Amino acid sequence: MQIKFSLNGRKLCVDTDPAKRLIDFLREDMGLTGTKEGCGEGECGACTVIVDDKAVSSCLMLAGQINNKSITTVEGLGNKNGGLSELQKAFIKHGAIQCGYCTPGMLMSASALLRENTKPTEKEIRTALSGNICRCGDYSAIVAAVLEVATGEKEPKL
Amino acid sequence: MRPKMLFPQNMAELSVSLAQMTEYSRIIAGGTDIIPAMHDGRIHPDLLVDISNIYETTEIRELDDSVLVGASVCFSILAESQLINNHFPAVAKAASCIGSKQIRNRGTIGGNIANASPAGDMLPPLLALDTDLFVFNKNKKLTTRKVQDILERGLITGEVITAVRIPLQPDNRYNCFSKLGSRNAVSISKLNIAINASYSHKDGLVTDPVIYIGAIGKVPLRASCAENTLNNNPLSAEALLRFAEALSKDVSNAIPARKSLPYKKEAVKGLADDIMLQFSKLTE
Repeated sequence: MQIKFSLNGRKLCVDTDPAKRLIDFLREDMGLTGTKEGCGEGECGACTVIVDDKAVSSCLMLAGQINNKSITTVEGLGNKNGGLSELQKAFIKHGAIQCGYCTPGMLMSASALLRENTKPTEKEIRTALSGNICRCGDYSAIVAAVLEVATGEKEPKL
Repeated sequence: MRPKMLFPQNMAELSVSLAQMTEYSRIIAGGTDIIPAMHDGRIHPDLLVDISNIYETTEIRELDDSVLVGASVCFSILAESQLINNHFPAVAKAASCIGSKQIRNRGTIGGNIANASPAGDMLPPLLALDTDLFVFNKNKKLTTRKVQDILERGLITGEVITAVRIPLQPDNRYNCFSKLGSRNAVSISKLNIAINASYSHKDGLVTDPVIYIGAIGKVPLRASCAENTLNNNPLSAEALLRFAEALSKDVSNAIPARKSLPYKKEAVKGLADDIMLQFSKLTE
């Protein structure tokens, strides 16, 4: 089946098996291995990507379901010059990373939150990240990193 | 081997797609239950019919006597809908308590009913509100069924839930929902409860309560003992204590031999406090 979609700002038309999981499509067909698979059942949030401005688990969506939709993966977060985004820099600054496996999912959930709410409270950040599990690091550092870029500006520093 | 997929764009195409289904085929919208089941090899569908592109399954619309919610409406949209919050806070609260943000952005009201999990959070509120379901079939016939009927008998091959019709309630009727899980978020209910009852500001009495408790059986239980105890009673501390005890009795009667009984018959008392606190606030 041919699916038309936007991936990290690029419009694409790709022939693929529509019943393939989105995470497998992104990693295997698109070569975007930044999205990680954790539990494979929507519990851990490691595979979070943004579909039409909403955070979704890419292990719980099929490739055919992204037809005519806009997808952002962690590879699409950086700035136009290929550098890290402000959110990514804040994660580094606050030491919000240990092994880093959950980090792409954390970044995508935080990014989706900041798209709909440029100045979330700490509680709103914790709610938005409640579907993302980190097993070795420090949630407070992650929340601090998100709070730092949650400045309320019209164009959030994603 | 992965299943074939069909993406009908309207009701006419849906009937054609439904006609191709076999006993192994599945309807999909959000996919939050079906996709992991396929990935784990628990189910092996030959065909998936994705209904999420059909307009009728995606809208929330107020009618004269009810609100129509498309089966593909996801929990996030339900939880944020002003219409749903105004008329059915029980439904909005239940939707907001399901899974994580990622799950709520994909999981749908129709899927929650069709999947019929014993712990399904949408089920007690929809039952308490006497909700009808629109069921469409491969012969283009649209029928209405009750939630209880679908939970007990299921759908047959070639049938699909396309919308949920929740009756508007009289001004003096209030509904709310509460759940108990192992943690605050991303939690499968150990118990959930919904109440829909009238309250008279004139004499301060609760009347005609309809109460369902979920996660204690295959389908939610109508808490008749608690309903009788609450009926024609005020929202006083003593009445609420009797209500909590009656709810505990309903749980004991439903699962007398279950290992979780000692926990659930006590835990439900906390849930009783929580839901009646919500109910009291709604009546203020």
